[in-house]
Amino acid sequence: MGIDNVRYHGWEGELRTPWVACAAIIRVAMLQVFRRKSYWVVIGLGLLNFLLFWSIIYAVTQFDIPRDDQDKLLGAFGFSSEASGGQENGYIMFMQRQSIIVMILLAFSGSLLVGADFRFNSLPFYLSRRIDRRHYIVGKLLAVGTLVSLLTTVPALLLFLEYGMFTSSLDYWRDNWQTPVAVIAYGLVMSTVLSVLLVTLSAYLQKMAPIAITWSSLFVMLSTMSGQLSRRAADRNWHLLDPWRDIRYVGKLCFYAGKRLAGEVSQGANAYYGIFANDDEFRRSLWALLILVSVCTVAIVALVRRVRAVEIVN
Amino acid sequence: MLLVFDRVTKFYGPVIGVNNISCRIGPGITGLFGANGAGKSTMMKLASGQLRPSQGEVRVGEDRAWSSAAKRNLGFSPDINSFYEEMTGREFVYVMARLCGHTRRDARRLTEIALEEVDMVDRGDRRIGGCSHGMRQRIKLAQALVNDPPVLLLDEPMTGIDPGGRRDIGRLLVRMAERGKTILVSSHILNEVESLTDSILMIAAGRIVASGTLSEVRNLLDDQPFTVEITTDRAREMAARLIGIPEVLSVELRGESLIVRTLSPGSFFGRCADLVLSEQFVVHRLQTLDTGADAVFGYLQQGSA
Repeated sequence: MGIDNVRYHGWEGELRTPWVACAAIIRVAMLQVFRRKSYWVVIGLGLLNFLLFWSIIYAVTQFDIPRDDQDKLLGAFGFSSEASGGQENGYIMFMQRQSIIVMILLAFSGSLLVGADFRFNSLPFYLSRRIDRRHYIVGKLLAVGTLVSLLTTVPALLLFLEYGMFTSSLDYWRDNWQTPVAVIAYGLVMSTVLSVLLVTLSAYLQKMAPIAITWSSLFVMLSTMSGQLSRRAADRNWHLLDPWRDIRYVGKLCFYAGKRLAGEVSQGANAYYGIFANDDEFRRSLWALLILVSVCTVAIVALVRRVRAVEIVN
Repeated sequence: MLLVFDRVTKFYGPVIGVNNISCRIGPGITGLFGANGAGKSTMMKLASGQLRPSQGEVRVGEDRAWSSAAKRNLGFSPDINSFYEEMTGREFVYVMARLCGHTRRDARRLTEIALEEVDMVDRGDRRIGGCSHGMRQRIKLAQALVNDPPVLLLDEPMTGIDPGGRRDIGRLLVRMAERGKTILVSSHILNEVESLTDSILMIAAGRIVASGTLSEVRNLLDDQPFTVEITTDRAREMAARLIGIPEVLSVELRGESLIVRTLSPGSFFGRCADLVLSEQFVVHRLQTLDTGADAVFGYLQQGSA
């Protein structure tokens, strides 16, 4: 080192609030994930699903397809051939399918994004800065949430834009203004639940294999178990054991709230605007909301305790 | 800016990490020595605000160490070897600058300055995973320097760095100290820090067992023999005279050199000088053999055990 040439200058100025540091944490997380080629395989699957929905919407809006076939084609993906209504289930279905990709990606990236900080004792790099544990936790939650949103909410919004742009009628924009709001709300629910669960699990388990196994068990095993119990007991309330279904129920609530917000009236066969099949399903969605809030609260308490405990473990 | 430990005690459940430590550190370089489990890392973590003391207070200037205001004045290089293997050194230092609250533009500028300090500008775009141990140390040092903190806490900063690199970083730290920065360096290679500073803190079993310059610490150890080597042309004759001095425990003849052990170095040197003048001995060389940090620390550890 040419010590005589060292140009070390003091820094004078105002630093920004420590909350801005959350942006740096998100940046690090994105760099880490998108640099790994193996993760691009999973992200690629998500892109394929997106392209499938994109193509279907493009085909029915741009090509001269008989009405019956159009209904069948769109119906298979949850959309309605009526551009001015009945699109909600399409977005719910798309985001639900994307969430499978998200689950796989998160199972393998939890260790990288959060577990490594605990495993390699990297936390001092963060906590010796102006940020404290609150900023660290929020930063990590936002990082995982951003990853989830990039794979679910953002492409769903793009599909909404695509549908609108390829539809000749302006009615689509006028009648569905609440849809992107509901998509964002559903995305927020998904991001929040998944990020809280993943960050907490990763903080405790740290290594990739235990995180992936536990994460998969949580979503696959509980889902299978709830299905079995539901069939054997002939009680659909057992479905509430399935976290995916709980998230989807709450997502439906978001779309339902959007419709209510738009002042639309639901009547007769179109009760709950076709989003919920019946009263039972609607009630179950409220229970699902309560369950998710409870689980997230417990997970956050556990996470805070874990981050505090770092000082003892180290 | 001073780093102050005021009657600090830290418990880990039933285990005591540090026990009633009080000291004022800086400005300048202070070496912190201690064996594994002595409480060295706990002191570092208390100073960097990652731990709160169970009793007492740690202050950086006027602020409590764990406050945001104090952390603004701190740069910390932890003793960690694996971190963010996917990122380049430049990206890592940049992110650390952003975590401090700098804008993108400032963070980029400060990153380049910090990398230049540690001679990593050319190698900054290498992935950390592909960096040698020494390069990782430099990157860690750069991230500690990036916000130009008045107080630097460096946990084993020289580990894994080649001799040339150690000299460079030593010179960098000396320059920083000359600028009025407070630098606390922990190391288990005592001679390295000995070349940087006279000021040391020695910790054992959670207590500071000695502080001050190595010579001062050595003088405190009057129950431990102090060894002096004297080279003279009349070694045998001088040995016979020295053994008559009451403070001298033993004299060993090694060719033209004498190895003298004493319990009271202060009065020994006075009597020795009188003897040399009165008997006209020609002394070619006189050196103390065990004021080295390792020897002093060895004595202190024995004492605290």
